[in-house]
Amino acid sequence: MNPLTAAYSSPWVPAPLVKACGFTPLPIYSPSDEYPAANEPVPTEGRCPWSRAFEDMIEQSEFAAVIMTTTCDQMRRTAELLEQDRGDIITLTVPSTTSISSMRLYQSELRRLASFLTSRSGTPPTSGAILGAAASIRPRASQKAARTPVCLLGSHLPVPFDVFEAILEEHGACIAIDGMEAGPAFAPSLDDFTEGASLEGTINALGEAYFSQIKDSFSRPNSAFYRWLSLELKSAAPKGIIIARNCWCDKWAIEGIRIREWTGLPTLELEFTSGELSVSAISRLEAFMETCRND
Amino acid sequence: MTEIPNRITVKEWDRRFAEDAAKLMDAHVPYLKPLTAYVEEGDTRLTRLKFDPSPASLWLWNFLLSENERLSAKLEDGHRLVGTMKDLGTVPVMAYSLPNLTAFYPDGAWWIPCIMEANASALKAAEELGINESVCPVRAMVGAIAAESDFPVPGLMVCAVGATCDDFSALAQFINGLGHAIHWWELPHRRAPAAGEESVTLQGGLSAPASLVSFVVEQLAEIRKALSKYAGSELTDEALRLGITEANRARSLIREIRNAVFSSKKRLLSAVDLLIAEMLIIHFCSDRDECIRLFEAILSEVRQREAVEPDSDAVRIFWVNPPSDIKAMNILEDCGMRLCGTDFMFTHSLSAIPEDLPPLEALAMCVLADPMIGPTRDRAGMITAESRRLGAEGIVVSRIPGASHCAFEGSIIKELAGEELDIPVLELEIPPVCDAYEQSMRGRLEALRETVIARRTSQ
Repeated sequence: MNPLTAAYSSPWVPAPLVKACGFTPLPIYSPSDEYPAANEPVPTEGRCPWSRAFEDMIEQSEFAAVIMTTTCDQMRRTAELLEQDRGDIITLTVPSTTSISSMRLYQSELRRLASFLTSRSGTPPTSGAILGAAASIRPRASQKAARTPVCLLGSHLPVPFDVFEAILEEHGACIAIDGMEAGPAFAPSLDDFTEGASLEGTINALGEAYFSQIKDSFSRPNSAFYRWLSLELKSAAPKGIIIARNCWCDKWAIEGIRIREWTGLPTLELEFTSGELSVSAISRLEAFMETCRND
Repeated sequence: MTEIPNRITVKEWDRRFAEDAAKLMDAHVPYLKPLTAYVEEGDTRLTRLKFDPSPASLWLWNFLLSENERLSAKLEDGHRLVGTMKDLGTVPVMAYSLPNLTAFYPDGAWWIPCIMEANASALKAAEELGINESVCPVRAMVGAIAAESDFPVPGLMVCAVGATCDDFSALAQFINGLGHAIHWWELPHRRAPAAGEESVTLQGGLSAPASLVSFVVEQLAEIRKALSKYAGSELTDEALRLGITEANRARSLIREIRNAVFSSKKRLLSAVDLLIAEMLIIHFCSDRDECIRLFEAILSEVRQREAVEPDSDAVRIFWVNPPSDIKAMNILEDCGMRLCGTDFMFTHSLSAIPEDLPPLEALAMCVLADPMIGPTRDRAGMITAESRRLGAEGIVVSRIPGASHCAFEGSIIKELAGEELDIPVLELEIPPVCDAYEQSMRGRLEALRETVIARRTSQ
């Protein structure tokens, strides 16, 4: 295993750039056997269980670098806590707005990320290395199994995605639309990504690919997310929507209300209050799938 | 516990209204009326409060409570309303630089559930839209806009997002989804400059990379365009400079009021009145000139009291975050304490805006000094430094139900204050109507007071 591993938990961190800097990109979207949350996260007032779990993971593991982002209040504040005592953390500013100047800010942050990784015993990236790394990255594929199709939206899960997927399957669901942060909606197509005239140009082009293609419900305005969701709903015709969110995640809690209204589909909000999928969450899922099947 | 003798209730104030109104004759305050009139319109929380007994305070409450009437009147006079959201103090300075724009913060709706108690239709309207009590009280803003119930809906809304509270950003997006156009702008996370990176020093001794200042200048330039288009006349540098000068007059006055109140050995102004006066600075309560006149009156009152009031032995408290229920300020005083410093989340709007810089750059520097967009440790550092300077004997961190920053800041402030000041820090969650928790709040505040008194004795 490459001793230079860079851990992160946001799709806004471009894996090709991390790889081109000589690091193994390690996106973490849930606790797992390999990277468990060291302490069982307990519901803490005002604190999302995922941010708590991620903090534990980082504190207990020895990653060469940790890349935090400002995409939500909870992770921004968690980054502050982690940064207090460690030099291996960088907090990447990811703008919420979609203007050209915001994109430039994001591109400059990627250049800062490259400098940071290089300073952490990485390799100075080259345009060729970024291009090569981009070609090797493929998004997670959606299922097309003969079960009741559902649309899955949300951020981080308390169990690994494949475990969650298996639970859905057990209850007769297949994920027809994967709108989780680790899913295809957050994975830009890099097929048309080409080398720039300089290294800076290549990093900027990578930044533009990410910035212009990620359909994040947290962008302001988030019309691109709704355009994407509209197309996906037409093509996959799911029977219901599952919004998987952590307790204290204000963004998904409020967006969920709008999604329910806007789609008119049966919608289940699965709120995770601790680092595991609770019995009550599973029984709510069971009841929801019954509704979807009968609809 | 000693009762503060000279605070008065709405009823007492009504009885002496004619006398106080006569004292304000020269000030020409045409909207002055007994506070009972507002109670009858639904602001029932007023009946549970005790107020500073001065004519200036009567003016203050009338100015605050008449804001919606003022906005409607301005609209009728041909003014265009701008809803500025979340940046708490900067965009209004720009808007008031154009003569036909009036800016206000729909965010202010977060106090509707407190002031109007069960009469708050805005909260009910938000609940009907699916936004319930799990969300910060600022959800009342959504209800107020959807039901057009509490203030005229502005024709232009300018909302800062980025390193701001997620709940606010999500609620603003919800409003956008209801069909209200919003000009979004980015309030970036204030990171520390890297070694060798060009940096600037901001108010409060903070620093930021120079590149971030340039970025915010670009954001403000877009806002300038939007405001110019909306107003129908260009917002020139010259107009902005004049607007900054006027804003600085207001800021200078509120700083003088705070300095006088916080540094005095006497109790010069009731805490709830000081809280409201401070809040006015973010958008001048929709009338900048009137706000300046009012601040002058409050400052004059405070100066007169400095000469005649006896010294106070009340415990000196630095208060962090605005309380969701303003009655908490009364309770603090009931428990034998007084304010000697505050951070109500907009300290960046109390500082002078540099007048020797290009106006957008000067405003960008104010934006970046926002205590909420940078690391909590920066904010905790400023609170600690101010607490030391002002001789605070204790710190109260007021938690806002449902606000995510509250989960982090209490422990950091406690740690820093413990390390550097060795004074007690109390965290209190205060709901919009705190009556049900009042006994427990009083108990905890009294315990804080006793701790401080014991320390005084041992020292």
